[in-house]
Amino acid sequence: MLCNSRRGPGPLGYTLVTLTLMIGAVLASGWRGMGVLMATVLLMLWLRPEAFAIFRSWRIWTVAALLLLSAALWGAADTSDLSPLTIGIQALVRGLTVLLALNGYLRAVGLGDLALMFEQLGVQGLGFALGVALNMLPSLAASAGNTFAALRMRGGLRRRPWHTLRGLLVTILVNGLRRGDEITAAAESRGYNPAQPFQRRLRMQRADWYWGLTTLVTVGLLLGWP
Amino acid sequence: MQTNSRWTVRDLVYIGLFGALWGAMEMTLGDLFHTLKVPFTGTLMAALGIGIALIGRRFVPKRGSILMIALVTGLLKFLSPSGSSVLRVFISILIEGAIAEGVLTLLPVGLGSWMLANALATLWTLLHSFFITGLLFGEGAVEMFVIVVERGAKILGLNPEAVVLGAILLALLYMGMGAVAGALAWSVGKIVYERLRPKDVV
Repeated sequence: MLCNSRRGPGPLGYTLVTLTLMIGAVLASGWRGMGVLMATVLLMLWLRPEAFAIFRSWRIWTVAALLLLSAALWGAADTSDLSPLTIGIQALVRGLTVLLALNGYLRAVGLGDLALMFEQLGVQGLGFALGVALNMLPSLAASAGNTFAALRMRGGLRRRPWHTLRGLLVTILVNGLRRGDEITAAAESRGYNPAQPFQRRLRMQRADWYWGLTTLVTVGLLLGWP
Repeated sequence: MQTNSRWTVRDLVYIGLFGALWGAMEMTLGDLFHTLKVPFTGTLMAALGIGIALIGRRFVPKRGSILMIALVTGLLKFLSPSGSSVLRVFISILIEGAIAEGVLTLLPVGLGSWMLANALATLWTLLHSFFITGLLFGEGAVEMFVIVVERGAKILGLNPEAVVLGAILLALLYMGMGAVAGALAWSVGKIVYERLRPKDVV
C-alpha cells in the first residue's frame, strides 16, 4: 500500500492525523490557527511533500485574494470584535490548513484502503462493487465507443437526435447489464458471499498511534495553551 | 444465492456497473465538456449522473442503492490525478445521491418522483460552492461573500431584490435540467428493463 511504503503512518493513522488537524483548524482562532497551519506544514513536509502541489492551483489563490480583498474593502458582519482583515486572514489560514491536510491524505491513502475503511464502517459489499466497477470501466468504454461508431456510420445524431441518443444509451446499458449477469454468474460459481467479511482488515499499527498521538498532543497544546 | 447480507451478488454487480457508468461519463464527457468550456457542465453532469443512478434503482430496487452507486462513483473519482477538486466532487456526488435517495424513500416510484429526485439533486450543484466555502473557510467567509454581492449590486445600481430574483431563476433552470434528465432516465430505464426483464428484479 502506498501509505505503508514510507516513513509515515498507515491509512488509519493518516485518517486520525487528518481529522485532528481539521478539527484543530476549525477550533483554533488567532495565533493558534497559525500554529495549527505551521504544524500541518511541518507534518506534510516530513510525510508528504507532494501535498504542496495543491498550491499550484490558481483557483485557490483567486479565492484567497477575493476573501482578503472583500474583507479589507468592505468588512464582515458588525457583530465581531475583530477587524475585518483579521477575520479574512483567519478564514484563509483555516482554509489553507484544511486543504493541505486533505491533499496529503488523498495522496497517502489509496482507493483500496478507502473502500476497506468504508467496509469496516459497515458499508457491506462496497469493496466488491468497487472492484466490479474498476473491472467494467474499460469494457464499458469500449462498448460505448463501438456503439457510437456504429451510430455514426448510420448518420450520427443528425436525424432525430433525441431518439437516437436514447437508443445509444439503451444499447450501452443493455450491453453493460448482460456483462453484469456474466460477472454475477462467475462470482456465484466461485462461492462469493457478500455477507462474508473481507479477509484483510485495517488495524492501528505502532506508527499510526505514534503519529496520531503526536498530532493530537500538538494540536491539543496549541488549543489549550493559556 | 442465500446470504445474510442485505445485498445479493447481482445487486452488488449492478451497483458496480451503474457506478462505473456514472464514473466513466464523468471522466469522458465531463472532461470533454470542461475542456470545451461548455456552460453549466457541472450541472449537466450531475443531472445525467443522477439519471444513471436512478436507472440503477430500477434494477436494484432496495433502499440505499442510489447512495451505494454514488459512493462507488465518488471513489472512482479518486483515480483522477487532481488534488482538492476530487474531494469536492466526492462530497458533491455523495450529497446528490443522498438527496435522490431521500426523495425516492419518501415518495412512491413513478415519473414524478424520479423527476423531483433528479431536480433536487441537481439543484444541490448550485448550493455546493457555498457549502464547500463555508466548510473550508468558515461561516465568516460565506457571510462576507453575501455582503460583497449585496454591495456590488448597490454599486452597479441593481436592486438587491433583482439579485434574489436572478438566483431564483437560476435555481429553476437547474431544477428544470434535473427534471428533464429524470424523465430521460425514466424512459430509458423502462425500455432497458422491458428488454431484459431479469427474473429476480421486481
